Order: sequence, then structure tokens, then C-alpha cells
Amino acid sequence: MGSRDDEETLRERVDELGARLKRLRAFGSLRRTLRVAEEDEAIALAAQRVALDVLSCTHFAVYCAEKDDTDFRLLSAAPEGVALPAVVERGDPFARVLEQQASVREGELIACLGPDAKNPIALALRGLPGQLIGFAIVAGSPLDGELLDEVLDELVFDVESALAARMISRLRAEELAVLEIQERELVGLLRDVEARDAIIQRDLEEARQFQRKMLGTPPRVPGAAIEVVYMPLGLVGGDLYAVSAEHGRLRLFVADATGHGVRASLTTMFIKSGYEAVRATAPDPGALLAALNDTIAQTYRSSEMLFSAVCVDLDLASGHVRFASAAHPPLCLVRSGDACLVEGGGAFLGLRTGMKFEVQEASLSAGDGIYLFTDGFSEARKQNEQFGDERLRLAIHEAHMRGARAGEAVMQAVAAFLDGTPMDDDGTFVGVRFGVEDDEEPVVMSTREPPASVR
Amino acid sequence: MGPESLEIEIKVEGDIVRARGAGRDMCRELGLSEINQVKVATAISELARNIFHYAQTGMITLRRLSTPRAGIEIIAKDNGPGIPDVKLVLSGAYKSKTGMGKGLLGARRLVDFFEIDTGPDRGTTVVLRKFVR
Repeated sequence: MGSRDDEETLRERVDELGARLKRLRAFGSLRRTLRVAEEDEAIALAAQRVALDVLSCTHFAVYCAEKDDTDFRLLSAAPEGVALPAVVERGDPFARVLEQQASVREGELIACLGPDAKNPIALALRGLPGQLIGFAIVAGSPLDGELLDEVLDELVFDVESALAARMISRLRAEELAVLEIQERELVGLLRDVEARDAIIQRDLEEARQFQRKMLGTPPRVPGAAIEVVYMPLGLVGGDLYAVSAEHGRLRLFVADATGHGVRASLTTMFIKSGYEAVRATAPDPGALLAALNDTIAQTYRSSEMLFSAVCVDLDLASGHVRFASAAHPPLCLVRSGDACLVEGGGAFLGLRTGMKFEVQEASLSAGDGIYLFTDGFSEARKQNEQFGDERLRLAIHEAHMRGARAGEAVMQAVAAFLDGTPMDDDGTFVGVRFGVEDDEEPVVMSTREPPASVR
Repeated sequence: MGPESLEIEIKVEGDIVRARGAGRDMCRELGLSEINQVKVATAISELARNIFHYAQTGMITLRRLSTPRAGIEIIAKDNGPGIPDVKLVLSGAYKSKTGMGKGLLGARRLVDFFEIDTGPDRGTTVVLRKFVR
């Protein structure tokens, strides 16, 4: 009797081991499938196959969300024709319960399986703890209690791992795609900006040529050696100069519109046309500045067109000098070997009409010089130190005494002082050496050549 | 305020920029944050680029949404060859040599709602929505 029982037990044992081996093989094969599955549907179908073929379930379905905040879509369902909804909203009470607990045995969704679904259960599929990414619905397995729980646990674990991995790789692919298209977008925008920049540079270059043409080259005048330095901060500048000789009189004019760059350069156009309108009729520098001021102040609102200026008349026969200033830096007179700065005073031009400008006088002998400039040189700054009026006076004096061009010497002195630091304002310099013939035509010196790209 | 809806034909490369700009303007008027304006504009330019590259011509329609939520809807429609394997493309598992699909995937990430209908018989229609928070 004992041996029959033993035989029975052994057979049961063999059957059980056979079933376990079948399950092990099935799970091994499932894992291999899940590892290479590229779509959620493939994962769901592989799980369904295990549930039906190995666990002998009658009902099996998988719902999964695309992202951790989207609704759940039905990926696979068996048997065919089972009346499950295609989508379960994330806010659905059924999903809410599964967010809280690992399994549910009742609910509207489970009722959809119909009356022949035995022992139905819905199992939560999680990405992270508390993050519901889907759920599986199972019913009708002949396996009993503890064993079923164990096998289902394993199935759920494999499926949720695979779905979570897919979700992560999907998110990563999306993030990468976003990066890639943003990169493309940036390249496009950069190209636009570069194209616009090229247009602006071209416009500026045209403006530069236009401004240079407007300022012109000083005339060659017998009995006076004239030099001009024009150094705008950018391609165009807010400084201007004018040199003219008529009826034995040399008239010099230097002005500095507030600010620099394009706006200030446009101002120079207005100043220049205003200056040309009054130049020929103004009897002396004071009258010229007053007439220019009235023209500008009448046309533009107060301070809209604000600038400093200095004007000098030099009698080419006698060397007699008359000059007037409107809030302009001093001018420099070099006489009998001495250089001195002469303050002109006066108010800014363009504030209001009816201003008067005092005329000062001096006389030059052959070999003496008179030098006008804007504040760009003396106010050139390195750290906290300015180049200053005294260095400027010395540079002019030294160059004048050795018969060199003073403007060039000032440029070199400022450059040496700055030692690589860029100037932060436009600089203009106009000089006349009285009673000296210049061998060459006067030229305008400018170190600021346009950049190679727009030349 | 600009129009309720706007149709932009995509025929030449410059139309991509035009669609992008119009979308950005509408987003600005709707009061989307600057960063969301850029996201929508980027998504639009991807869809427009897809049309230009794969279907040659098509149409981008921009629409203001008011109910149930305020936002913008973008519909990109073409009668091109359609996208084979669109599911695989959107799953992110598709490794394309041409970079195809990247635009769709990225566009989807940039908006709140994404829907696509595509087939060789009917071209491709993509609907995007972005809501004002």
C-alpha cells in the first residue's frame, strides 16, 4: 500500500516539477521577448501569451499609459471580443484605487469581463513606487492561491519593468529629439542674426563712407600747414571738423555731438549743414557760433541736438587769430616755443536760441601753431587715470618743436598711455602751423579702418 | 488682437520661418509665457519643415482655443506620402539615418496635446495644442 502511495506522490511531484519547469521556461522566454520589445503592444502580447498558455488564464488584459500623467490605453485583451473600454482615464476611480494598492478584485472595469470570468483581479503596474503606469486584469486561472499569487507577482514584475524601461527610453528619445530640434532652431536663428548683422555692417560702412565724404579733406592753403586726425570710436563718429579758406582767412571748426555711434553721427550731419548755412556770412567766430546755435535750437527741441564746438579765424596775412568756444575743451596755442591751453568757455549749442559767444584774440608769428581737438584724447582713461590736458599739451608742444605733425604725436602718446586699452570716445584733432608751407596735400589721418569683412 | 485663426501655406523654405513667426505672435497675444512661446514656435517650425521636406507642400493652420481651456491649436496638413511605421517613430525606438521622426517626437514633447493621422492614401495631419496655464 505504501508503495502505491509513494508512486502517487512521486507522480504528483513529477507533474508539479514538470509544470514548474514549463513556467520557468516560459518566463525565461518572456524575459527575452520583453528585452527586445520595441513597442508597448509587443510587451502586452508577450505577457498575454504567458498568461493564457502557461498559467491557463481565461481572461487577460493590459492597460498602459504613454507617460506618467496620461490616460491608460488598452494594449491587449483576451479572449477576443471581451467588452473592455479602449481608454481608462487617469482620474477614473478604478485607477485611483490602483494608485493606492497593488490589486483590486472588484470594480466597473472588472465587471466588464462578464460573469464567466472566475476570480478576476486587477494588478497595478508601477514604474516607481506610487507611479501607476498601467494595470493588468487576470481571471480564470486554475492555479490556486499562493502559487497563483507568486506567479502573477513575477509576471507583473516583468511586465512593469519592461513598460517602465520603454517609458524611460521613450522620454529620453523625446528629450533627445527636443535637443536636436532646438539645436537646429538655434542654428537657424544664428544664421538670421548673422545675416542681419551683415546688413547692418554694410549699412554702417556706407554711412562711414558718407560721413568721410561729408567731412572731406582740408584744402591746401599757402602759408599754413594743416593737419587733421579723425578717430571715431566705431565706424561712424559724433565728432566733426571743417576747414575752409576764403578772402585770406582760414576758418577752422571742430564740434562734438553728445554721445557717439550712429545717433551722434546723424547729429553731425545736421550740425554740418547748419554750419555750412552760416559759415560764409558770419563775420567772426562768436557770430558764427551764435548763428549756428539759433539755427539748430530753432529747429530742434532743447537738448535734442546738443553739442560743443570751437571756431577759429586765422588771418593768413597777419597771423591775427580770433576764436570762440561753446563749452568745448581748450585749444592749444604754441607761440615762440611755448605751448599753452586756452579755455574758451561758453554754453553748449542747441540748448536755446539767443546765446552770445565771447570772441578771444591772439596773434601768431611764422612757425607758431594753433591746435583744436575734442575731449576724446584728454579724457582717454586707463583704469582710474585720465590722459589729461597736461599730457596732451606736452605731446603737442614736443611735436611742434621738432616740426612733426602734432595730431599724429598725440595719437601715439594716447596709444602708449592706454597700452592696449581701447579709447572710449571719438577723438578729433585739427592743427595749423602758421607761415609754413606744406610739401604735401593735407590728409585726414584715421587709424580706424573698417573691419576686413566689410571692406 | 490678431485673427481667430490663420492659414499659412508651406511651399518654399521661407514659409517655415513665416509659420514660426505667426505662431509665436499668436502665443504672445494669448499670454503664453516666453518659454512656451518658444516651445510652440519650435514645434511649428518642425512640422513645417517636415511638410517641406517630405511632402513639399502643405498647410499650417493656427487657431485660438477658448473652451474648455485657452490656448493655441496647430494643425499641420499635407497630402504627402504619409509616415510609414509612425508608431515605431513615436515610440522613440526608431533609429533613422535621415533624422526623420525626430521632429515629430520633439514636437510632441513640446506641447500639451498631440495627435497624428497618417497614411499613404491621405497624407499626414498632425494636431498640436498648447494651453495657457
